[in-house]
Amino acid sequence: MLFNSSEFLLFFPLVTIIYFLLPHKFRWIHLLIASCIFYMAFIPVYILILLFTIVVDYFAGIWIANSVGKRRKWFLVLSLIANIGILAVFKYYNFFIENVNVILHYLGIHANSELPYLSIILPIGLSFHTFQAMSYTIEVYRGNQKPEKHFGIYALYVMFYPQLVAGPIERPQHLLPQLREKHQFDIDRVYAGLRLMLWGLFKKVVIADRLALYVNEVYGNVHGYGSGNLLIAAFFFAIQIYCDFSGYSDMALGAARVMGFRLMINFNRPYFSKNIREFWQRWHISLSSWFRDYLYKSLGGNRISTFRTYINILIVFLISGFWHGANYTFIVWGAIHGILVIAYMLSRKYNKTSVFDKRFLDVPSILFTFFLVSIAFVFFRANTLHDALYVVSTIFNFDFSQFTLMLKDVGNRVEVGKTSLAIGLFSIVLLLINDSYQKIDQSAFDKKPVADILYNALILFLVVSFGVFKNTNFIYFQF
Amino acid sequence: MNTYYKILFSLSIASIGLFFTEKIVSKGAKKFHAHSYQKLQTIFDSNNYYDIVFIGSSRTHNSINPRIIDSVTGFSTFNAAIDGAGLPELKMIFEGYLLKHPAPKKIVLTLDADAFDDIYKFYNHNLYLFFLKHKVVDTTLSGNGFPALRHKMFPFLRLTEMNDFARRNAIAGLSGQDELHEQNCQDKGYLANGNTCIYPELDAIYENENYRIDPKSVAMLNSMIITCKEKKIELILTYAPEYNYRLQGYIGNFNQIISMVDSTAVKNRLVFFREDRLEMCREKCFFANYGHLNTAGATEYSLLLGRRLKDSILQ
Repeated sequence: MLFNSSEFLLFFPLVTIIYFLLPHKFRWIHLLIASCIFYMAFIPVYILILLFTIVVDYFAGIWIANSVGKRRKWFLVLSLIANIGILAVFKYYNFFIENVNVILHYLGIHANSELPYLSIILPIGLSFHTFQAMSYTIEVYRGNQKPEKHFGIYALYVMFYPQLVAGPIERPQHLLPQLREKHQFDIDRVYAGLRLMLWGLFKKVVIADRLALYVNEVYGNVHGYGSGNLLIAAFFFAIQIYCDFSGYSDMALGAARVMGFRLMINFNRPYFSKNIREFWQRWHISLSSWFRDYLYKSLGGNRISTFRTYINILIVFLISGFWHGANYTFIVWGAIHGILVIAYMLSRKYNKTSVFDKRFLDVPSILFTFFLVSIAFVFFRANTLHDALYVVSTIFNFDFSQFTLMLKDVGNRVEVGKTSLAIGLFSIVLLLINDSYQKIDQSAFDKKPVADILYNALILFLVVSFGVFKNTNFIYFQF
Repeated sequence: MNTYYKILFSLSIASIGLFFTEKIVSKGAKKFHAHSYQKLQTIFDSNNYYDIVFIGSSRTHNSINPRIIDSVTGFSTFNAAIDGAGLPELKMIFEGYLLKHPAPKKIVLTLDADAFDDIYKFYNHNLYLFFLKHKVVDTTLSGNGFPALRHKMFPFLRLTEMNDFARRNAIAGLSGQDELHEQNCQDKGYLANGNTCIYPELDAIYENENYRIDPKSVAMLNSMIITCKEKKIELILTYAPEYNYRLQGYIGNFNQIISMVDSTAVKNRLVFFREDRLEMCREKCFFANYGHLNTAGATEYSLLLGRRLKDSILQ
């Protein structure tokens, strides 16, 4: 079920009202059933995969806590193998087979036959809930979290519907206690949650889905466009993916907030970052911190030699890229970010008061960081590595002779005309103003009720008037 | 301020703004699509009698001039064709027309090769939202996944059905523009297609395609045939004129689609006119593109069709 669908418009109030009407002891059952319905709206049978990892991790958590010595480690390994194994089969198997087939073909082995591919659809949000499940067993192993004895509460920790399919990837210390807390109905909290959901919906349907019309057209035919259109498409995709993913996160945080839950902040105005390192402290925070806590630190973090630290950073970013999808485009995207972060750290090492840290250079630094991130996102968005390299090389040709403002104009199929661009640019300006003056939870006008009312009315008006309501999937659902 | 009031005021202010915006946008859309809107008013809201009604897509809309047919046959005819219409939309026009109008003597139904596919269920559904009070429109849209009830209860939610092209048209309508081009003229549902002669670069636009024959669409055609039999209306099926068989050359399963229509016609003893076989279809300057006649072509074709209809009436 999509947050921007009419089904969710019925589902959400119904679930919330029943949640508050029920006695506290039954609420977890209600939320668990609601989460199952939410997940099964995509491909019902895939709930069995979730059930499998839930069962394995639930028992692994208990066994880890009740064991000593090497047995603890074995139970952790069991849990990790189960989770990574699911990921490997459903997400990476075909990619692996494709590469093996290419190598075998190159070596002249199996020239006339290929190793078989699996004909399966990737379960929605698989990488998110497996990572959340893994964080539980790792934290139990590290002794930071007691094992959850209540199977239903543990299942709800993995399946809590607002963050089930695209995060934020929660930590057990943060979410599990909240699932046991009794949340009273609080109209101020409901209002705050709805306001955040509305802003997330605005980012999704007014900005992201509109820019997607332009981006999809250009990336669907990259060889048909010159530097100007490809550069604009690169910038637009950077804004699209931010609005799409942070819009989803806002709606997830808002939906949880209405019921009294506080989820992790996932985005903190990443495009106001002055350097690439800061960008990664503000972008997809729940994933970056997951990799920092469970991978980077396990590799030795920055307690080892500088060279090894840089290698570790590169490893983390490569895996982070691979986490996004089984395609070389994502791996290259991760590698680019790893190299950019290392380059920044090197520049800091040899020039402690870097020229980019001067206050008067804030705006150029922000723009430069945005430019780097946008170019890197070309690899994230392009269909193939070949397309991505073509786009980047064409952009840097700086040949704007073929530039066209409108992309096509045939009958009423046209959707990327001047009107779309005008609404898109107006919405981006509003986004910039909002991100400059609002707080992350959209509460800047809390003490100015008239301004708050007018602002929310304006956003609601813009959502209905200018939203693109095509039930478009969120980009990160595919991960 | 009490938070309940904040929610109430936010919703009220947004709703008032949306209410007036929808009124203004609707006005603009009706003005821009004045020709199509008036045609739908004639189909769904009036009860005039016509002897012959033409139903089809843009290839009928731009090809059959009822004024010429009237002069040849001596009957009163109306062109009820809608651009881009596939079977669901054709059936809605057919049933919507028959709900208030007396049954005509003949209905000429033109079927394109893509009419049975479900790619464009409703080419321009925004216009139909103005006719949700009409039972057939309401049930057809609801049956095809459009939230008709929601739009009837909260008309401002129609804004969510608009794409940016529709928004642009509404604004253009408010500034006095309309969908008709300089060379267009309109009469009794017909829209002239200008005097452009077919241009040679056209091949670059077309792509090879296969169209699905959706069983639901076939069932819709059969249901229309049954209704005609019940109401004693003579149903004539046609395949519209096209330049030198060029359009069908791009459709991989054209013969399969046409055979299906042909066998349906034979089975139900209906006349099926293959207008692509007319001699006039070899003349480039009767066409604006491979599938659409220009004004001169429409005049010529209307004369030919009028004579045949007259002959069939006399028989």
